[in-house]
Amino acid sequence: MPDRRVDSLDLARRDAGLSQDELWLRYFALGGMMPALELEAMCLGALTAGADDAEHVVHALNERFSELGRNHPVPYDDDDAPPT
Amino acid sequence: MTTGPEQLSGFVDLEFLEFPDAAAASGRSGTTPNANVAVLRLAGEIDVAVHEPFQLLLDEVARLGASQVVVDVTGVTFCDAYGLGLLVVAANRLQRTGTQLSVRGADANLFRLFQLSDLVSLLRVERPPSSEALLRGLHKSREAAHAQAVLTATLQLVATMTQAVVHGADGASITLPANGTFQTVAASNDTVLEMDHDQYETGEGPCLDAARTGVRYLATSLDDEARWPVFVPRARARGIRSILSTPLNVRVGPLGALNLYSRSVSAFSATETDWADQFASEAATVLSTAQATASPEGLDAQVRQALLSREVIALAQGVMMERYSMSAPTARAALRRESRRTSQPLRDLCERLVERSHGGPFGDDQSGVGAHGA
Repeated sequence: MPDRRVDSLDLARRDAGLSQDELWLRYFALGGMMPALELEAMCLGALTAGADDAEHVVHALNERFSELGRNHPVPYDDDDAPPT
Repeated sequence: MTTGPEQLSGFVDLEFLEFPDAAAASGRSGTTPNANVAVLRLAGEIDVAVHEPFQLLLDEVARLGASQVVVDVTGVTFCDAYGLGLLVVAANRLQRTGTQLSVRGADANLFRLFQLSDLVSLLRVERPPSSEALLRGLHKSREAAHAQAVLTATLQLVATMTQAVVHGADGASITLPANGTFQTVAASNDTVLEMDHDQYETGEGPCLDAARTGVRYLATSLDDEARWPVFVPRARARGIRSILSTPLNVRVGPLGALNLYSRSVSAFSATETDWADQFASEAATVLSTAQATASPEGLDAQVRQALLSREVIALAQGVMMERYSMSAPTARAALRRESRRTSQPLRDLCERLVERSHGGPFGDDQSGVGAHGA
């Protein structure tokens, strides 16, 4: 698992130009289960989410970065996993 | 454009007529009053067999840039859940390019099927002439009804998928409290609907207890079940032998319950209850979000869009879970990985997967995403 600043997801959110509500809506549209407040707390490092939830947030952020022409800059926790 | 007979299933007669550009290109003489309207005619049995020609024609519609697609189902004699799924995916896909899909020509039986699936508003299904007068008064809040329909359609999808994915389940439904009593907002068949109503009438049963207490209720064998003495004989008379009711829990308490029944005793083991938990979480999330964002005019438009996206992704997830006996997180991880590997947005990938779900996952892809999981 890559090392991250506790608030690295929030930094990524700001870098992606998304408000907290906008990130949550994108995460929700992808099937995310956390309510908006929990998502916000998780991004700020105040709450530890399950691995699947965290990866879904990363994916929502990376899809936004893809729209901006940047290739998945937010690391996934399973980056070191062997390819399937 | 017309599809050749070699592209069609023996059960389906699918034609694409009346699109002026296509008609001109193929030398057809037909004309239509509206240059941007494409009419897709479906006939015969609408099931998995119609998938490929239907997709080909939708591609053609997209290529020609129709602003409106009318699906004419006048000649349809049968339509199963897969056929309905095709229409939902098509509406979803067309909507994103600003193209509106509507359905016309449904007879009373087919219209009833759209009603039971809560798809009348979502797919803009034209009502059969006979019921038009009765329903004239109901058209006032069409937009609010449409928003509500998206939510109900999502819950209906959860119920349908739960039955499809959870082995041994013969029916699934979602119960919510309403005006001091309960109501079924989604049901995968009539038996589960009747089972729910028996509980509302008798005031007892596992789904009521799950919805009230937030605790899971499992009735392994109704032959030996003593907890609900009035309800159980009714359920047994309907051929029901076991029931699993899972609460839709959110932080403040239960919002309702997801109910499964089986015609076999001991149908639901730990694996099945885990899957039921996953689907109950999905329903609870969708419901709590809808409640939090609903305005008097209905759901916020963005949330409506998000629900449609969720619907497609959940459907793809269900395909993976059912086909490869994957858990929900494993299926989601596999889909994320494939989305990333192919640089496709998750929603687009899932649309493709659902569209191709009668073949292999991801077409000819050999990544092994389905076979090996996360």
